[in-house]
Amino acid sequence: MSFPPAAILLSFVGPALVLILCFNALARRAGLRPRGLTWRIVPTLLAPGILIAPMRGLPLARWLAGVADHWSVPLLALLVSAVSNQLFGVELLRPRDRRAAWLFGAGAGLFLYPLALGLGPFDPFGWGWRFGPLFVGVAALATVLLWRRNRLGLVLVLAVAAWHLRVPESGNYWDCLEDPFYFLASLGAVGWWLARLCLPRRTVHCELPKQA
Amino acid sequence: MALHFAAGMRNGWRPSPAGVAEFAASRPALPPPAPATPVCLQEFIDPQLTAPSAHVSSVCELPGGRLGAAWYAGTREGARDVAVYFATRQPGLGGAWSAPRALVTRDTAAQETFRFVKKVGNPVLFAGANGNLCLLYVSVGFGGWSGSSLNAKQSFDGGKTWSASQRLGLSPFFNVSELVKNGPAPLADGGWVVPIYHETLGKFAELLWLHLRPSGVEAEKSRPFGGRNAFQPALVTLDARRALLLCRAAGSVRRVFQSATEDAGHHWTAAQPIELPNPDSGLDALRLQDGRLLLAFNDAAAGRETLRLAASGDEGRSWRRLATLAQERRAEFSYPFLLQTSDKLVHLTYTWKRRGIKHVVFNLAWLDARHGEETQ
Repeated sequence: MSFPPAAILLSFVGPALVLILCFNALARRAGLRPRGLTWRIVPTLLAPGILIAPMRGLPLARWLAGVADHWSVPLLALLVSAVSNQLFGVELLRPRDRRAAWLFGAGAGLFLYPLALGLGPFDPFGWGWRFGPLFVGVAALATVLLWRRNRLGLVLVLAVAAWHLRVPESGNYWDCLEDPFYFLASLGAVGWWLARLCLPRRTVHCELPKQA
Repeated sequence: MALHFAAGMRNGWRPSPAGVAEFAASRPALPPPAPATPVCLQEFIDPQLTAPSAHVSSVCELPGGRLGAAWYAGTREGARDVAVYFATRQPGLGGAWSAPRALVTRDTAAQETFRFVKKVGNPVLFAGANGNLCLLYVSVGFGGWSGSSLNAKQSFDGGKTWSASQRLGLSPFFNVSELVKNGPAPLADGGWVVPIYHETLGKFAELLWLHLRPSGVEAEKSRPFGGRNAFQPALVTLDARRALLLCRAAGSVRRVFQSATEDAGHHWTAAQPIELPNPDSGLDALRLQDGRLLLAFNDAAAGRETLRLAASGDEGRSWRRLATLAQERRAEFSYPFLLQTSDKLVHLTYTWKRRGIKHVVFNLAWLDARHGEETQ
């Protein structure tokens, strides 16, 4: 076998975080109130157990890796924050940090994917192979975010560290910053806010009882 | 962050891998050789036609003048039993091909890359000056060929043993739509540039910049041009800075497309159609040791019934048809691959009726004897 260990590890960690969130959502939907150590340990152990389980000789997570090729650092940060909030009540990313992360995911994806897939002669993915405009742009954004005490700035610094440690299989910086699932989730989140902003608010008319 | 910038500034501002290293100095054009007897030999690499279907071959020179060839074969294109096969041939015109050996199956590819693989295909084999071999091939996890990813294997003992497959991450969108068909050109820094292509939203050529290390393959890619008209390129280097890409037609203009660089691949001209037709079919090109360019292509705007050679003596500005290699109504002769070995013989492999891989070997005297025989 020849593959980067960090990329393999993340292919288990990403889906495990999603599964833990799903288990909690299901439990809440079933009317259960997850509290206590058991509720923290059971999904935390169950999720990796499912993902490690072999199907025709390949762990389930590696089947998923055939589709979900890599997990970006901001998406992992959002998932870790959601899991830590649900299991331990600790909010690593506050609402404004999450808003910035969704906006970043939507913006970066709208710039990257159409062009990288061939809509035009320019390929922004080429910027991620080595030091260049992408690194300067993200560094500037991270600096502004850190100055404004937005924790997405810290996440972007972690993305740089991941690239230096050669975490993504590709060796391309874009793969630390963006992935298709993060992009789609970001589009959904941003679209939801826009819809809430743009759609007229429903007004409920109440008739007061007539006074005699 | 500061450390990151320090490292970046040390390595220099280079947003693209293209143009970092020049092409390895092309051999200077040699004077025409002394008159020799025209020689042309045609044979099947696997004369038994073991598999019902075979397609996409490549050939390279191994240490000691032997040849190595790779292709894929199975029940049909994309079937689960398709494997990448490898065979070797002793040097000289009288050599025979060894029995084919399966190098990659979907199961071994899945095992080695530790992920689901639905099918494999398009092997491209090449050898470095030190005799080390590299095999690039495509694998598909889900969907059709446009869902392909590229993988690399290396051999350090002339093809006896091979490293595990390494999947190359080249696309941000599920790492799909990266394919290969033609051979690479060496770079001055010891690396390689491989002409690859993309076919999702657009259909266009790409360049894969490779450095082969015993620990694995380092890969980056660049895009010479975009669009939907020209893809599946063949790369011909003219000197250290100049090169041509000759491409298969993808759009309504059924002609061979050509693009050029004068700065070692950093910038390329837009792909323009040349006078030769192309029926949306693979082609290959080569710079011969005498400086001429040789092109193998399907000589029609539709159908793959005629496989022909053309040559250019003015670096691709004009082409002259030289020889017909195969021609038969309603048959398919396609996906040629060209190589000139150190003994000056020219080798060509191609898909014969989708049933087998044919190997044609000829010398320049045979090529020159065909000069003028073909009609325009």
